Amino acid sequence: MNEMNEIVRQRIGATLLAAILLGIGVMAALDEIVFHQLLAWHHFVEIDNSALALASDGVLHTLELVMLVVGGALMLRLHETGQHAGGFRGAGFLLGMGGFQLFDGIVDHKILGLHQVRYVDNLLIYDLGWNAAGLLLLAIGYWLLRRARRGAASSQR
Amino acid sequence: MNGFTLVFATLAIAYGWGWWRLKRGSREWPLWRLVVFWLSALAIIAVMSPPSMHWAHRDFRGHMVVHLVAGMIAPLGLVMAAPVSLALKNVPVHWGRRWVGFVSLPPIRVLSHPVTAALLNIGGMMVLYLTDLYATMLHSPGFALWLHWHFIIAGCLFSWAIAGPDPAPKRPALEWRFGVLVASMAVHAMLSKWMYRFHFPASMPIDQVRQGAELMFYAGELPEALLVYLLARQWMRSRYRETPASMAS
Repeated sequence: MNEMNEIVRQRIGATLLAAILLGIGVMAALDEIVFHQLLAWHHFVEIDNSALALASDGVLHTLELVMLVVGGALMLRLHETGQHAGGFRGAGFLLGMGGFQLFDGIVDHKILGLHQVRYVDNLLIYDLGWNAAGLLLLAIGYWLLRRARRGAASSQR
Repeated sequence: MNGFTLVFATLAIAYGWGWWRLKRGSREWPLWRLVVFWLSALAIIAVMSPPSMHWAHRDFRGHMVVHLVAGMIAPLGLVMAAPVSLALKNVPVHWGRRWVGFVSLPPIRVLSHPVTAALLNIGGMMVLYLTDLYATMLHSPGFALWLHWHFIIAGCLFSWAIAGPDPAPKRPALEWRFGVLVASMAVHAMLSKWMYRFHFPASMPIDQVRQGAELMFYAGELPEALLVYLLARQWMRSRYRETPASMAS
């Protein structure tokens, strides 16, 4: 019971939020660095992009950067004031990463059509791989979250 | 010597003098603020020097570098060095009340509102790049000069309205300032992608425009991210207070 109080006084919601924001921001940065710049599978602007697609691309990119910085500032503050909840950081981080990967794979690539994973014939394999990676990260994040809720995460023991 | 050199060298000397006076009176003023102010003033003097201006005039990439330094990076440094606070520490106390009275005047409050500052900044850029104004500027030295002052002043105004450390009474709420900052960042990113894709300003060669737009997108992000961080720190500090337990540890 005493242990539960300890966890409640720590801010689980805020810790999860900070970790999710950081996860989204880091995954988005990885996507941009690895796939856009290093591999150059897709580009800064694709030739057939519409003005609207570019606008949404700009908005999404800005939100990703803001999430990374605000998530960092929030996590820093929670640690400074000792209000961070152990066990929920890793869970939130992976949920954020997986959530972004899946969002990018479905909304950015398929619904908004900003760009494809790679410009090749057998695109389906790339799409499946992309989204499967997102689901896998989400599943691990969910498993970590359940462990943290039980108080069984390694940083809680 | 051009006007930019004169003004910013004078400001840098004045800041140094104020810093030295406080130090001599053993009232502390952080050294990093002096360094940031000097570097920012020096950066403006450098990009506004004749060789850099010639490059900016000929080449769109040069223009973009000048814009990034004089309109975004240096203004952020000038504002974060808190020059008004330093000045007020060096003058009689009643000047502080005058300053507060001045920034409380309705026209000043409207001008320094985050929304106004953002419109002057990003709105000015949209007009400059998406219309023929850019070509007009290249042929009109007087207008070009005015435009460069506009970049610097609008940049300072924006940094100050969003997260300036100097005293400003009745400032809009943090959430408001945060919203305006994020919105103007999104427009900045969007504008640079449009310029790349649709070739704006049309009067410049496409390769220069594309490289300039990429520079605007990626390099512009650094001062923006710093501003987000500074504002987020203020926000989180007011939202999550120190607890007795955390202060003990």
